[in-house]
Amino acid sequence: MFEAAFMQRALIAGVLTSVLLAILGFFVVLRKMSFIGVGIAHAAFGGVALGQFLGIPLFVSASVFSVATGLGIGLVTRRGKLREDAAIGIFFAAGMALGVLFLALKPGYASDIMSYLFGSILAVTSTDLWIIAALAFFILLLLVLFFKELLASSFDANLARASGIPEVFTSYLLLGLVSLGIVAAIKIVGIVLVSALLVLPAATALQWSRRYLWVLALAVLFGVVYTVTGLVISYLINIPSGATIVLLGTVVFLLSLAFSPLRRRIGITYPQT
Amino acid sequence: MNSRILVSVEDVTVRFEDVTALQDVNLEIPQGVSMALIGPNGGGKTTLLELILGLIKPAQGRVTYHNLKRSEIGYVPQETETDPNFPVSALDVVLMGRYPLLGVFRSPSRQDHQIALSMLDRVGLADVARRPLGSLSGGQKQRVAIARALASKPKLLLLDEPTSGADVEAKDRFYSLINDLKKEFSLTVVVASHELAVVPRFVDDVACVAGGVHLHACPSDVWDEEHFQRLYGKEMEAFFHGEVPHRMVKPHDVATQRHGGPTRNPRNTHAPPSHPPTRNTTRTTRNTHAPPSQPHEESEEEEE
Repeated sequence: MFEAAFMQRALIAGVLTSVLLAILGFFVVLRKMSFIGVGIAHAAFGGVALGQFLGIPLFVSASVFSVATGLGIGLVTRRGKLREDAAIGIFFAAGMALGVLFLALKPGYASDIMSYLFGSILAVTSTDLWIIAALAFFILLLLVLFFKELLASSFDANLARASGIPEVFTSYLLLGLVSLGIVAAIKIVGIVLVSALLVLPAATALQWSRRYLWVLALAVLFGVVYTVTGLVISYLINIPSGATIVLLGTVVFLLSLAFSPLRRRIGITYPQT
Repeated sequence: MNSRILVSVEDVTVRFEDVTALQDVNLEIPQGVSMALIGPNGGGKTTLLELILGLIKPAQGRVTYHNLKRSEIGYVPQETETDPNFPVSALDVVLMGRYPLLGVFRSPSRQDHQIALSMLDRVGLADVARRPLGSLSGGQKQRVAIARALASKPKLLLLDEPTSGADVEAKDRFYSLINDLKKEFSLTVVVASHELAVVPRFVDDVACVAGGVHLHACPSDVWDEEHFQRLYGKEMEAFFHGEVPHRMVKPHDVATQRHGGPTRNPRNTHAPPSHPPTRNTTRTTRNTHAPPSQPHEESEEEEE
């Protein structure tokens, strides 16, 4: 089934974005900012519709919109102007509203918009693929370079700041990278479902290990398995791929929750030293 | 004299929005002392520590380091709720203490691992180095935090409410550990605590921090002499400037205290001549108070 070029592109794009989102998701889940992913993805809808309206590349307008939203949420929250959940709620709705408005002003692209909302991995073009690859490379490079700062400030932001780790910079960096990662993944699973690919792999991996390198490795593994398996299943029985990937991930997460070795260990003290 | 002062806080006022957290605060931290910042909860102790750390900018006044780099300040924050499921081991957390020294783009080396392990060993946690942090007891987590602070090779160690919630024995073990570490690593130690009773066993100097009030000037209703005697026993005496206690020493230390004279200026209080005798006194005091023969090894037990 992978002889067709569109299937090959779908496979490569799916693997790239699931690796990317799994690693971003590791930090997103540990920093308890999963909902930010939802907010950023929906704000990106405004960017997509604006791109349609102005006739500029959707990737560019979506990137600008989602990065601005991500950093905007970070800024108003950090300045103490607004609680994070309120900020996300507002940006989320504003992005969607702008999207609806731009669409109404230039009708005729509804089907295209549907593919952004729910993903169309089989429609990934080679241009899309290059954009996704470039974004993935850029984001992963920065994640590796700033890994220890990200880890320490995710663990305890105040202590990180107190010990001289550039915590403020690091958290804005992460918001920016998550925003770009979401843009890269929108084509794969769509705006509505992208946060699942961000959250599910890391949340599942955390059921299996308490060592961060293992959690990262497992998250990547889970992400890739969900995407590839979901793609194959959706192809074979002709169902929407984005939804298949997300539901598959949810099933694995629930099974992990039920059978996690750590579940049972929590609450039991280790042998005394 | 400045060569012996590590940090000086001069006429500092800190405001959050329109609330004044600290007002006209003066404080000097001389090298080699153990100093307690005492005062009621919400009195600004944490704010003062954060000010010293440079996390807060004063509205007025200034904080100056002398022969001290920012990275040479170790900080053990008040017990915070870190995610118990965060996938790090005790060793990982102590290694984080090395991060600021490495700078960006560099990962910890084998040597950093060794330093982190030796610090864990020093606080008695070598056995649990590889365990997930979430599986450790509260007391063990606190010692992990101390090891993390030590891993950055600090000159000055700031501890915020380190023993709140611990029982009396655990407090004694904690402070004797801190005293040992202080000698071993030539540290200067500042402890913020609302608990008066733990203070004199351990420290050379006491500064009071209460709301928008001056250092060394706590409200007299909180700090009356009778209160002090009750808390610290007859061996201790509080020195008062007017109605507020300035410093607590054993009675025979009065001669030393005269050096300082009845002044609000901490510069005089911390003048070098007064230090060596005070430190000796503190050591004696601690022995008088501490339960008989409390070997350090016991502090390696579980606190729970």
